[in-house]
Amino acid sequence: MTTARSQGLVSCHCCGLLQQLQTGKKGQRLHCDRCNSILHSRSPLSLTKSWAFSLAAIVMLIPANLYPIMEVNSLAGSSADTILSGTLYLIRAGQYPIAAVIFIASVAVPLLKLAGMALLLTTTQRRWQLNPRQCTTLYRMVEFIGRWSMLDIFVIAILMALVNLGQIADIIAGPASTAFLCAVILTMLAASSYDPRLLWDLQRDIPTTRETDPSTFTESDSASQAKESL
Amino acid sequence: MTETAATNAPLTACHHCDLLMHRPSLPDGASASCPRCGSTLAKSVSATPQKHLALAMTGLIMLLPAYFLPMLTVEILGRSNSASLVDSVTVTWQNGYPLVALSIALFCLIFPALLLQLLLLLQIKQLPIALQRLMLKSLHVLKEWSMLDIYLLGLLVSIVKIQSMAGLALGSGLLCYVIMMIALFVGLNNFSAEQHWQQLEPSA
Repeated sequence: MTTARSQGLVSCHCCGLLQQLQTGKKGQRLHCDRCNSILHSRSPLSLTKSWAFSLAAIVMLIPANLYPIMEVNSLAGSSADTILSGTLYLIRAGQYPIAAVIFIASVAVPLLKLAGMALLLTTTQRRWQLNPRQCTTLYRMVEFIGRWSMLDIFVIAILMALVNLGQIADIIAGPASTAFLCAVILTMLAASSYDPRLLWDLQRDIPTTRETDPSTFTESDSASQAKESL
Repeated sequence: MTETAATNAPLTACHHCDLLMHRPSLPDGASASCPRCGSTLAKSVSATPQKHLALAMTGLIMLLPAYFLPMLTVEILGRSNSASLVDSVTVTWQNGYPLVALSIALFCLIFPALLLQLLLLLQIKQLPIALQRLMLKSLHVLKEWSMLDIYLLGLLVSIVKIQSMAGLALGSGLLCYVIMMIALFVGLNNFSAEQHWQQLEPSA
């Protein structure tokens, strides 16, 4: 199996056009023939960016879980709930399906997503020989489920606009909502800045020296071919 | 992706694993996935420009009612209040959460509106090439960040959450919203960016 890089080709990340990667001067940016986006064989600094976004997301998850995310004021009294206590409240109230949806979207997905990103990033950096196909599937899942964590933010905004009855009942967001929003957006950015092609580069026996230099890869695909046929 | 694929077919590279292969020619409605990593490589769509125009127009007609008409109404102790999509942005803003308000405005109002307009305008082949190129690039970015489907799930969760403590009525805004969402979803699913890029290729 041959990769585009081994043939000196590069596919545009935006429009997908496959083209020759001319060896330009160092530091010179090459543009796509068709859509004029900047070309790169692998996303530049993808591991650094992805780690930075993931770590920032982990930091944001701390206030997101410690501060209340929603405050309910009504004639029956007022209460402030964090993400977890809100879920527990729903369980005690017997609303199991909603509790499950909120738990999956607000607790399980962000944590699993960050764990998945950490696994992918460490695999790429430490050159762990994990099954790259499974890793790519993991990446696609992380990429797909990321946006669904926005659910809780939307629910709070809807409830806030809807239950807006002054003294009788009033729902307002808590400080955790901004933190949680940032965490979700940061994990989405972490996933989109990761380049899964790096996982497949590990299959080669030639060490990756520079991300941007295509000439380090030549036609010795027999080793990777043998691995793939297993 | 079998060996019988024409060997002079144009080459393409998988965007997830960089595998080099011949671009498959697909029957309508079929999709091809990468033999090495399983990512979707290409999808063949049969939508005509007329279908795209119809979908985009439907979405754009439904846009304003979906944004401004009340989606839900609650009633507690004789007092009632209704909320539209725009209300959920303004109330969030007024309560001191500008970032939350801004992200809802972008992901659920502005980006979907832009996407519908792009789907409509991209059917007009007379527009300058540079503009079409810009529109295709914008579409590529914006479609990742449009979250109409998640907002709808948010509405459903909200309904179930408060139906025990308040009387609820569905508003006409909700219906318009669902129609707009379906129009955008079908429109994007049947849109082939590759096809448009090929038409824009220089000296083709």
